Amino acid sequence: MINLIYLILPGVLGVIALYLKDVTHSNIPSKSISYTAMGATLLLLLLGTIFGFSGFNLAISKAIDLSISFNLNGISLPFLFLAVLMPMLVLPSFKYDVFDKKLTFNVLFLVIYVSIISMFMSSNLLSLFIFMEISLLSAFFAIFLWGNESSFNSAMKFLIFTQISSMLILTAFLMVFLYTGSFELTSIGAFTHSANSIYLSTVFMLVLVAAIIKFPVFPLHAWMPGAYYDSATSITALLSGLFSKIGGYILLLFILFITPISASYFSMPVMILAVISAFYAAFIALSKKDLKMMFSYSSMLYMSLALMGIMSNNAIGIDGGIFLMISYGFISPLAFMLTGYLRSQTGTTDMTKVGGLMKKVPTFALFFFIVVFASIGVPGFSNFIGEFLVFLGVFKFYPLIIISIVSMLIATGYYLSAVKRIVFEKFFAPVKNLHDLSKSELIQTVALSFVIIILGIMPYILINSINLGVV
Amino acid sequence: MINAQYILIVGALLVPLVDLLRRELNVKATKIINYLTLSILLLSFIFEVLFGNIQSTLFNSVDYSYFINSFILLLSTLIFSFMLLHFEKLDTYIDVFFIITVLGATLMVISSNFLSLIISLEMMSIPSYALVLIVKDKKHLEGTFKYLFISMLSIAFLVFGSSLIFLSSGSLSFSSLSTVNYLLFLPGIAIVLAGIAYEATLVPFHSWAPDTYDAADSTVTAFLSSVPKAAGLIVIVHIFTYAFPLAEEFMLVTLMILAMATIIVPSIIAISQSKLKRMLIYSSIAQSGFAFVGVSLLSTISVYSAVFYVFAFATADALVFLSLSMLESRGVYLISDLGKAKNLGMVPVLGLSLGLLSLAGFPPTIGFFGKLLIFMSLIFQGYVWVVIVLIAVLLFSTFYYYNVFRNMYRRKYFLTKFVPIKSDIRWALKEAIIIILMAIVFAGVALISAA
Amino acid sequence: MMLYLILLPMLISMTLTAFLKDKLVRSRLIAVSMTSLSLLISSVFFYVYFSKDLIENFSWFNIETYTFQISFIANNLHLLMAVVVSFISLLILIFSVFYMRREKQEKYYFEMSLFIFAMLGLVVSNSFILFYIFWELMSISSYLLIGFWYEKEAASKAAKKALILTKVGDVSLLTAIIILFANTGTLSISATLSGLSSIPQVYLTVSAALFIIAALSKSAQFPFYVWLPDAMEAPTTVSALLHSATMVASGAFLLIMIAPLMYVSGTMVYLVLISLITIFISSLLALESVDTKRILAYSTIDSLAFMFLAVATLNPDGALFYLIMHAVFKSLLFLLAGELIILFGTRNIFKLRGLEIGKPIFYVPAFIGLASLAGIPPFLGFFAHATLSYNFSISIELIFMVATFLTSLFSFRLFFTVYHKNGTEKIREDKFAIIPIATLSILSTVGGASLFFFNSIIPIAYSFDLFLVLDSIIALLGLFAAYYFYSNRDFPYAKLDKKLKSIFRGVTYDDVLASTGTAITKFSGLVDRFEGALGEAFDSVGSLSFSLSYISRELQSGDLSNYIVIFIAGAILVMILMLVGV
Repeated sequence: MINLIYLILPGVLGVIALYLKDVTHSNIPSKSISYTAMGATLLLLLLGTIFGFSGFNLAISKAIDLSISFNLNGISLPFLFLAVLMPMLVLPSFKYDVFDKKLTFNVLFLVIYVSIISMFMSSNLLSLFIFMEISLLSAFFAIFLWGNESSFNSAMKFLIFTQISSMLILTAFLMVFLYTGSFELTSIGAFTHSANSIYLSTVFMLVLVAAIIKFPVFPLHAWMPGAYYDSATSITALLSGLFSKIGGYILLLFILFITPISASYFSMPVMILAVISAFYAAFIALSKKDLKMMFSYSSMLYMSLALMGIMSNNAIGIDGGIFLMISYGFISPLAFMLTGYLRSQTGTTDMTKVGGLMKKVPTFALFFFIVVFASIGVPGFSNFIGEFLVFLGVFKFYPLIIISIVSMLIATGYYLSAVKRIVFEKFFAPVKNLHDLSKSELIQTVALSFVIIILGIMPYILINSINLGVV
Repeated sequence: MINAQYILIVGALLVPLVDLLRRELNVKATKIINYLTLSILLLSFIFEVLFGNIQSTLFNSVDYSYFINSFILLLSTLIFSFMLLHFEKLDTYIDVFFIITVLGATLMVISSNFLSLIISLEMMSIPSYALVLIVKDKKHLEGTFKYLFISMLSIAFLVFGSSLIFLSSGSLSFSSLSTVNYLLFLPGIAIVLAGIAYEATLVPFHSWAPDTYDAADSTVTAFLSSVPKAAGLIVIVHIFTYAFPLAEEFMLVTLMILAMATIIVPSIIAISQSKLKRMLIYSSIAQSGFAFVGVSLLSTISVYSAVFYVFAFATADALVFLSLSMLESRGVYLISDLGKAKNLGMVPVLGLSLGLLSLAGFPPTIGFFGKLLIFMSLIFQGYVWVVIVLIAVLLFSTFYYYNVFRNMYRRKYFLTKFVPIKSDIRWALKEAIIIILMAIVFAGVALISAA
Repeated sequence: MMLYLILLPMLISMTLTAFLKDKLVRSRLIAVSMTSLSLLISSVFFYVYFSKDLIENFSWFNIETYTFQISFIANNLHLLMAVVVSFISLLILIFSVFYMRREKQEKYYFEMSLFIFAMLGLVVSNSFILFYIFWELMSISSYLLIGFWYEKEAASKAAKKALILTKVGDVSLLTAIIILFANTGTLSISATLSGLSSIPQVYLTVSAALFIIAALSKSAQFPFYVWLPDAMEAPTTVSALLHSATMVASGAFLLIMIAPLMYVSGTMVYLVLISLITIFISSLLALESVDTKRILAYSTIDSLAFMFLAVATLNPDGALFYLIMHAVFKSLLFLLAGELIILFGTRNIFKLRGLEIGKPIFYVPAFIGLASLAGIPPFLGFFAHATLSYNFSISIELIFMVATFLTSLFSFRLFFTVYHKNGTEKIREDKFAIIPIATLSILSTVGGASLFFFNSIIPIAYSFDLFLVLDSIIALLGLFAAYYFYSNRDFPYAKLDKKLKSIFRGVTYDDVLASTGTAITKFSGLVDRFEGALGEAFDSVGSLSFSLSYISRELQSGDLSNYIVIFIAGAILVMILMLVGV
């Protein structure tokens, strides 16, 4: 039995090790320390799935029911899997943008890593909130310290929007505490699960708005284009692959355990909003000439679809939404990593300035195809399962909403246009000498593709770990 | 049962005597006196921790007074040691005044009678005028004068208000406040509030603060914005818990309006400040507003949350201003200077950052927990709209706090790794103090239980 | 009994060609051998399960009470298709050895293996989701293969067009599957078909309509037919396999397979209409094309429309027979076109005419193929027409005869234009080219006899009635007309095709597609600008706070008397508030 606290130990030790390295001026590369820490966590996670996990509980203050308690609930595992595995595969991309303060970068990276893992494991809402805030603060610094020139404004917008959502979440948590007298998920669930009142509906609405900001979903997504675009490649990958799931996770906690009845009242309006958001994002992605922008809005599209699935009030839709979130959590890092590679090689991510890359850098083209096919839902890749389940769930809820499937057509449109622009036809680029993917890049892309394909072929790995009834 | 106050009184008498002796013996080193003072402060802290309880007619320790007094004494010790390190030469009378101010502050916290309140308030504020004037130049004089004037005005109010209360309740003791004749009592209490509020920098009684805090040396600002403010707020808590054991709706509205004004107005002004110190001052003023929210709710939870919040922001303010002092010696005055100046030193920068994070309310600093408790008490009493307004202001303030970060961590100057300043014992010791404060800010969560 | 074994060799082929360099192991060797293996296994299964039905279910994953199953089916229909698909694929791969020898081997054979894998999987699927998976994989492999010569802008554009248009069909298919699954709780095709009565009529109609759309898009029927002619950018072997014999036929196959559903949905009359429109458009477009492959592409669209017509007239088995036979002669024709391209370097029928290719070795197989296409006895097509037209009403028969005339006309236009005189050049024949062509030619000649045996495999009805006789006469008429019009190009009627070209320029509706594309782009640009405005709205909130701040600074004036005033005013205010509160 692996105690859940062990999952964050390597990360914490990693931060301490990094500090020591700085103090002793040792020559060990910071990234090695990070990799070791993350690898150890992954190993522990795997061991845990085999042998089982045990909970951890450390009470800090009884007065306000604050304790660090780690316990797995029915939906923790998929998110944990994403949070533990993905950052490790994203870190190598730091070489595109992080030229100085490497140590600080690794420290921030590990802090984000540990805080998000802790967040997904927390069964005490207050400590969950604290871990979330720590990760957001670190994200703020990560965005602006290594981003491009306008990164401060984008980081600021990110901070303010997510602060609003955090405050909403905090208010909701406090209201729940007032209602039930506890921050502990298990006790709350028992109390509120079958309860139905305006009070609880207000709580749910607060969380809903917060999630809309965090995913992001139209119309509260204004922070996203700047934050995704101006950040360093690895940070954008983290934002889109990991941070966007936080809102969904908290929303799920409320839908499944805390306020299921209230949540069902909101299903219809939210679904309509999600459909609008999906089409909105798809059309904007279609109009974008920059690859990174296109991927950013594409990410928003899939998150809207995931929201649709989550709110569909049936198990298939919810499982589908979760699956789609996790699946895209691996696809988008791959996508952004490729844009980072492109920029490092050609100096631009503008699709009108490069073309015919298949000729010069076929390996890049191969993985670009994988990203495209995986995203549009070609079977064999994980997104297909997610999309299929989401649309099925949505249809069961209200048939007409299936119209959202047309957004997939638009997605095919812009993805194929991207392929045509930069992969096919004659080669041209600002820089003539292009190197194909290097070894470290290759390891990243192969690993990510591997996960995407395995999830696509054997979805039960993830689906069996989701247990919608267990708190 | 030796209480801290006895030690301080003894110290207040002892130090001038020793100094007199020194002068007679023509010993030049004033450092002795400084160290003597320091040890007195330290001793008093220790004794407070050990024997914190006083029960008498004039002074009455409540459960949180022990906590606050220990904290005040610790903070004073730290700030004083910092001052020693900072100033080349500290006049000996400053030492005495410092002791008296601290004594006044601790007495204020445990006052249970209007008479003791007035005396301790005077004891606390009069010497502090001199503290502002450590450096004798025109700017400091202006600050001192404004402080002096408003202070005089306030104390007059306080005395007058107390007399009204005496008229209405027949006693000067706090405990008799619950049985009163309202008509006389209300104006009385309002005037009393006006009288104390200046020290706690509540709007609209705060106008002296930006100028005075700005004029004073940053170390003194650190002291002024933490200890007297804390004492002022605590004593208001004290008065109101006695005066209104049952939370009265109308009182609440009035106090809440005051609190909101205190939070909102300085926060707005702070955004456009380009001088770092002034921005921090405005944020500090806003912080008292937050604590005051807890006071205005007048429930058990909110009182404790107010107390904890006072602890939180006082520590953070001290941390921030002390770090600022170190940064100023490196030439940082404007916020943009943070980006330009080189070799700032890792510790002050981190200290400032951590302090700002605490003021902004980010976990896991005590500032976050303070705000959390305040929010909790608000929600428990159903004042959700207030929460919303507070959140909006918080977001406002996020901007100016993080603006500092932007300048601090601007890429170019982070590149030059913080070269440790050539061994300067004083600098290193100052850093140590800052580190202690940082630790409190970070790990003070545990003290929630104490509150 | 492990039906997936049919697919396994192709999977091995995919893996090996993907990872092994051609220098190490010849990709073509892998592909050909593995396909032969698939053929062998399919034949074995066909023999073993003759007239038996077997369904195998595997549970893929489940969510609460729903099980998502993978299901394979072994019965005559499906196994026969498997045999046919693997056989034709094998012949075409053998031809590829000759045709593609100067191209990138690993890529080609990998993509072809992927396709064959998908097609084989499709024909033995009994689970809708599995069917969809293979359907989608076929779209992808088609996309990759059309874009094989990606450096040509035409190829790149054609690939994109093909995938987008077929994606419309894919989306329809997926929606239909979702509708059915939501109503029946099972993904099994056989189970759904037997439980049709439990599904509300509205959903039956909607899903049938969606299935039709999917089939129309995959089989390049009206209004989706525009992708197929452009898809001729692909290597000819690809055209032979995908775009004539197998992939495009899968649309028809889909409808054949779920025929029971189609027939209770009441949509068949529309299908008849669409098929007839398609027939006429494609025939006329074939008449004005000057590119061998384009003519063949239009002829494929034409033939597929025949199949749809059969399905629409409640004769799915007749459609199936035609499908199989069509695969034989159409792939033959494409291989011939490919041979001409490799040997003579052009697809333009007039240029080929100029090269004077008159040798029997060229025109005999061509004649056989085209005659089959036209429906001239005793070739394959004639027998196929017999069963195809079994359920035709009089009106349809009349229209069909016109269609036959047109088909015959454009087929032999091709023949007489290209094969004109006999030049005296020596051409070296490659054995890899000869074998498939010869095989297919022979099959096209004698294969018609299988009609009589076919009944034991799948019950089909055929009649050699008056209609058929008339039909074959008309086909012959077409042949003679073509000879008359086209064999001597100086004849004034030879200019006919140029006239037709100008009339039917619009029918390819490329302009419509282009303007739709522009409209969508403009719309998305609008949305983008809205997005920008939204962002600015949020930004302005930020600048608002700055202005507010500058204004409020005035409060802190530095003037002591001001402060005192504020102080006293504040004190009074507090007093008033308190008093008022009471």
